Amino acid sequence: MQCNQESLQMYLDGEMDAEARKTVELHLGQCRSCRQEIARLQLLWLELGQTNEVELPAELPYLRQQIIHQAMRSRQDNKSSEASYWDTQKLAWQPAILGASYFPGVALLSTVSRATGRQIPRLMSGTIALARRFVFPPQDKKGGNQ
Amino acid sequence: MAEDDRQLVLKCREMQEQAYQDLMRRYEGYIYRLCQSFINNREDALDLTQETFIRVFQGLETYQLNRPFKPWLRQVAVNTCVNFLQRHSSAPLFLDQPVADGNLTLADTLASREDPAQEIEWQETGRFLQEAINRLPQVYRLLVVLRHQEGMSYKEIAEETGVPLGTVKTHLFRARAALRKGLSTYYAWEE
Repeated sequence: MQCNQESLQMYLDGEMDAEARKTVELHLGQCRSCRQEIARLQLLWLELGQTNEVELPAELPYLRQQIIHQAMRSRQDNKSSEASYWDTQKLAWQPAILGASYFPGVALLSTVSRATGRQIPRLMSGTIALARRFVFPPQDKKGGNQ
Repeated sequence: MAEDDRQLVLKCREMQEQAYQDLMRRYEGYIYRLCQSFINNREDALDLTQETFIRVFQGLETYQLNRPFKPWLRQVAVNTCVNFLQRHSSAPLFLDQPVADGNLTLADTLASREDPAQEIEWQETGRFLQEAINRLPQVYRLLVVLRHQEGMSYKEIAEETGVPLGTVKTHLFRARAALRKGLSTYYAWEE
């Protein structure tokens, strides 16, 4: 392996697979200048890892109130707009439903269904009676009397 | 006992103001400092903190409760900052090409050292380095902060910022090479 700054950085970042790491470690064992370089980079890594304690601005609590107020208002608006959406839909469809009720025949649908409902039991009993006639043919009453 | 993030999010969804308060108190400092590290401007960092939390609260319904809250929050903050940088940058931010400073050195990133008062301030390595980081191009700084302060991998950075993986590597390498050269000057290392 040639001396390579980028490889040393990737090595310190832990962004190499096991084989590549081994290659770098072998090279470090043989190359004094890369050992020195990696020690310097480690110092830089240590410094970069220090958290930067920036002082928090005094207006942060005020900002918090503003954000919360805005967020809650926006959520309330969303909720009310969701409700009014359905109201709008209902209103929008009302004329169509009203119009459909004037189509010829539409009004008869309920009458037909009521009539059919009443006729069904009679129809069924008639069918059953007919079937019985075939399965159990009526006996000749005259012969029976003899 | 402090409530966990998930419980607070659920209460926020029910519009409980106290939950909003608690969630913000918990993370506002973290988000402000993150934005400040990316942008290095107090007023902009405050604006970006505000924008981040507004986006977070607007998106609470889409947040998946089984996932940790902090990385999701950070993702929103990073996106907000990246958008900000893109709005305020004349050239596209994340080209595979280097930023205009191909041979960036720490000397380029430092202000004039002729001022003796500044010279005294720079005696401390950490402070010296922080000053150098603040003067890095914003894109470099963003990546350095995500890598070293947030401990993210190259892949995670690429996913979170939308920067191609190769560009993340190149920019990080260049940024740290510049800082490394600066340290060399500071410590008077023999090269």
